[in-house]
Amino acid sequence: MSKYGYEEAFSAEFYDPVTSKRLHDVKFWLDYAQKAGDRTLELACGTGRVLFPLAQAGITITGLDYSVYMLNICRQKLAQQPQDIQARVRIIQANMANFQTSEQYSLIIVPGRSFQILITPAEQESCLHSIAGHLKSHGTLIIDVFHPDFPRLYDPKYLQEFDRTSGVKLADGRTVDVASRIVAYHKDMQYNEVEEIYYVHHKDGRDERLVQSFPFHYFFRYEMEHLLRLCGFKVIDLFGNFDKSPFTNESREMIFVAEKA
Amino acid sequence: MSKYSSGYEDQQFVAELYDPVYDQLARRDIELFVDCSKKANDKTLELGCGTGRVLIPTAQAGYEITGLDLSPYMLEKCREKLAGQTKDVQSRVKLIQGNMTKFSLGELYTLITIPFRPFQHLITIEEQKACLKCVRQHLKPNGLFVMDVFHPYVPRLVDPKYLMEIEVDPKIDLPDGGVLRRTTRVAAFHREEQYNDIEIIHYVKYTDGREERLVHAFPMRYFYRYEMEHLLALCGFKIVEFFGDFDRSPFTADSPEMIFVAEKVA
Repeated sequence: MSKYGYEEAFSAEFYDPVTSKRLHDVKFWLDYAQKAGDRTLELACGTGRVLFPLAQAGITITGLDYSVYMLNICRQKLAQQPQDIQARVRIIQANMANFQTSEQYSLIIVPGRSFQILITPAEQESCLHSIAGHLKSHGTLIIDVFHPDFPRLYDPKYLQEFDRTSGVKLADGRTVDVASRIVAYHKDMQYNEVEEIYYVHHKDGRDERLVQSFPFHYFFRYEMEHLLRLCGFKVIDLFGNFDKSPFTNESREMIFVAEKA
Repeated sequence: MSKYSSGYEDQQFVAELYDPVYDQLARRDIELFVDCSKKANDKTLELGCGTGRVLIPTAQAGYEITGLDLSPYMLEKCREKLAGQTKDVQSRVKLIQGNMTKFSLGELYTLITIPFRPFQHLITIEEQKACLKCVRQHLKPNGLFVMDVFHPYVPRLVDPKYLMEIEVDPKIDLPDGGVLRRTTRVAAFHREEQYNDIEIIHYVKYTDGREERLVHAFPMRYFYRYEMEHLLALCGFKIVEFFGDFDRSPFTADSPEMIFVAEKVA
């Protein structure tokens, strides 16, 4: 199996502080969960960035994630929620490429481009077969992947660090910046090796540089349509953004809404 | 055929200028396709045979081959060239004017080929699937299907510098004494549907000094590796070999081509 991101304790620890403003997609997922009106499964739920707003809005949701560190934080946050919200949430540690829960779902979602950590078609197909096995017959599957920003598939300038954030202050007084860089392009297998670099500034003046590296598959539109079809799904909608705007040349996202064929 | 128009079958100059250009450029794919026919040692069907660039060498090497093409002008050129061949060679060739997305020939083939990217003129997945369905119907149970598409050079899918004309062939001699210069440009990027609008611009200088600018404009679909693998699987094929160039070298990040060798799944 390939090496996943988010296996390091620090990337779980910094996830919430650095993504605290990342709410652009929550309403989209909530709309579909409300329409489904039944149990939702979220793959790669992480620390619950999407899971908690949905549970707070009344959705019964199961979150699955591979990282014990991410789930520890998710469970700590869950413990602070009111009883009725806790009752609606179930958390499972498992590999999204091959999972088995005891439930069937009306809606299965893979937010935040997590499907892209599955590098090989074999892993992707295995994940989709697991999903098909847990989706009710008229259920909906929604997967969000990025629409490749093409220069990032070849331009050597991305081998240098880019997109460095301005520091986020943590509760304990430390400050964290995050930057990204591409370590290697693998156009033959459609993935980039990526680094997320955390610069931590401690209260005592010490500086630390922590690197999370992981491979990330990039998908193209028809590749994804064919892959879904091969695994027994039919695409019913393709959006270019979370406002449900149509997919265009310049779209940042590819959001596939599918049902069993 | 589709909403995407191509001058290929209705512009005569495309056929007129094809051989002078590609004879001079000497594409290195002929040997591989002739070799596939040799291994098949039986009837070959070539889709998009054009003026016979691959078809005639295959027949010359001793193999029976049927060529299908959409353009009457290309086929006319092919027939002219065949007329200059020996009776033996002529007897091995059959030419059919038809559409690669809907043909029914009443024969089965041991080898079906689509050399030099005609498959990339099929813009929509419906057309691509229709073509592969026809291929499957005409392939014998143990037959092979061989096709090549280019491995996309990613800057050409996005970089605005390709909107300007780029010289590709500075000087090609024409049979009547004229001279041809070719440039190419991308007229528009359609990344959401995975095709570029392409122009190949022909500057012809005739012997009497007259000059002409002829534009062949067409949409060109580009495929990615896994997309193609999934598409073939969906249409009932299994890939048995995958090359990055016509010397059969393995596919790598910098390969110019994607050459798929597939067989029918029972």
